[in-house]
Amino acid sequence: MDPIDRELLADDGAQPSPRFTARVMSAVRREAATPPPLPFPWRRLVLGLAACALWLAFGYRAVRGGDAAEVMALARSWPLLLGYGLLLALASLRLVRFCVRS
Amino acid sequence: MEPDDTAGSDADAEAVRRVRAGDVEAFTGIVERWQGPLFRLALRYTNERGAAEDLCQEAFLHAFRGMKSWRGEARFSTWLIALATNVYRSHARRAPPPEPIDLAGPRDPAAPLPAADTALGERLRRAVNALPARYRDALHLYYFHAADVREAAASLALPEGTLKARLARGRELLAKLLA
Repeated sequence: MDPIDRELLADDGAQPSPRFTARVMSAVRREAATPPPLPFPWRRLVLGLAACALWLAFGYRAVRGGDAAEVMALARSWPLLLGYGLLLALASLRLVRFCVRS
Repeated sequence: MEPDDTAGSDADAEAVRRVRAGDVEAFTGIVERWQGPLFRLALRYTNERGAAEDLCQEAFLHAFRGMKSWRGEARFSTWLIALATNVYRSHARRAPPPEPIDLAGPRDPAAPLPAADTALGERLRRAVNALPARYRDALHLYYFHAADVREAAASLALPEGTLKARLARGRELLAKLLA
């Protein structure tokens, strides 16, 4: 047999130190006691992206498809602006509660 | 690589089943059965007992975390050694390059020589570790598996032909290093 083969094949039966099993098991117990990492919220991300896309589509349609005078009139009407603001605030609150809950 | 007899395989399968069912202590059996082979494989990569123990522990932790990914299609030993090999290879990638090796003879004439041929064996292992990763891994796994090409290829997830080619090239490079 080639001397290199003989040397590299040699198995001296080396073993780790006697406390090795205890050390590994202690690390394994710590690992088992650690709660699993939170999974990435894919569902919420998809819902959020879909809502954003919808919002952008509506905005684009309102600006491009609507009459400019009509849009300006809407912008000057404070009850409408107030309603719009309230709607946005409610939607934001709802989103925050949804994120905190799940 | 000894604990792969039928009784050992059954014991591993049973331990895996119990660990999956939440019995963490059942993992002790796996550690006790496999610590020798995994430690010796780590020793080939590190040449140092302390570092080899740390690596070996990391491999066992990976195995514990990934216990669900063993489906029983491959033998447990194949799965565990492939997983440990990945841990050791990742470590070798991060580790600083090995020190230049003096393959010609004993290091310091004043220093006492280790018993028997361990010095030559150690120098050879250091030479293997100085090879490019693909040849180093091929040689380490081939000799770890007692020259079993099929097992070594399975541990590295390589076709046998590719492993044989890497072994041939690795041996050439090793011979040049030793010349």
